[in-house]
Amino acid sequence: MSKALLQVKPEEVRRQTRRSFLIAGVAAAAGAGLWEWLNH
Amino acid sequence: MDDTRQHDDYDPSVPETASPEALRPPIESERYPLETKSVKQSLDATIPAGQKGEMVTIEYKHSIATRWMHWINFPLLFLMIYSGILIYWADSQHEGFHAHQVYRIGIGNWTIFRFFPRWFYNTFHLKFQLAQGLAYHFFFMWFFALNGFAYVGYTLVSGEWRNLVPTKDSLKGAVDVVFHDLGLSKGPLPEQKFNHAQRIAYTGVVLMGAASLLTGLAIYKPSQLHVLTSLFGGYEMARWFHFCLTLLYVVFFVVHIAQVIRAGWNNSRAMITGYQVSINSKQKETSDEQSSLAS
Repeated sequence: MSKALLQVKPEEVRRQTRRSFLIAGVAAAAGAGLWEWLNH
Repeated sequence: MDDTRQHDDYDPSVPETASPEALRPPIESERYPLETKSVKQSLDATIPAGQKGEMVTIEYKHSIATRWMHWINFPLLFLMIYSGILIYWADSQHEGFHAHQVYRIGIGNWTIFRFFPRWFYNTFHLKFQLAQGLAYHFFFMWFFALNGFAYVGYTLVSGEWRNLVPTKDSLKGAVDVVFHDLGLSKGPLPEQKFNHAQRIAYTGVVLMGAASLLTGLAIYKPSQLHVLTSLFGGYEMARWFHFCLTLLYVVFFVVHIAQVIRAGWNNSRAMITGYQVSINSKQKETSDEQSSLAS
């Protein structure tokens, strides 16, 4: 994997983090749904 | 029309030279256009000259495939350990009524620690759930195995294995890392994506996964897979290996979490977003802040 660097604003880092947490939350909710379905 | 004009402008007497733009190595957003799309959009936006000092340098550390497989593995491994304990309780002489010996640490008849003491089963409500434990274990083991195969396949195809597999210097390097992390050595560690201790640990845990799969199959189908069971020294030994591997996962998890906490948010965020703010950039930020405060 390349070690190339990117220059971004600090806001962009925070935005990416929020976005990733949102995706993680949706994935966790989907996982919880699957768990409920499995135990139904 | 435009094509014709370009063709007419072509002068064969002028030697063709690549522009500096074409010669430069591709930047990260070009290598991974899908994963860095939003960052690239941000870069494309015009940044006023006065705001350029507010930029931070980030580097791409973990691919989206690595991150997904890492986080999928977390609940899967938890469920495998949990369901394994449900099975183990029912198959242990201490708490249940089966003929298998309970594993313990001790000398002769003197037991220092028993796997597991009564309070452990009571606290976590792990008793009398054999059927559920078996159902969970035999269901999630396929996903655990698939995720493991996918991860190994990905690291091989992507070339990421080069960052993960220990080298001939790893043993000594891992000792240096341990001394460094314990504060016994102040010297800087070599700059690399994964240090030597990480290389050993991350390769070791993949091998543990393979061993868990094989020992698990050996005790899952000891008649059909009797050759495999025999290779591990029989059913009881295969079961013992399987149990010890589980304990090693727990040890790995505890050390891993401790190291993640120690490394800080910037490091762990990379396993969520994929990016890590460059250490030099952070140092520069701190230096700039100190300079502005001093002035």
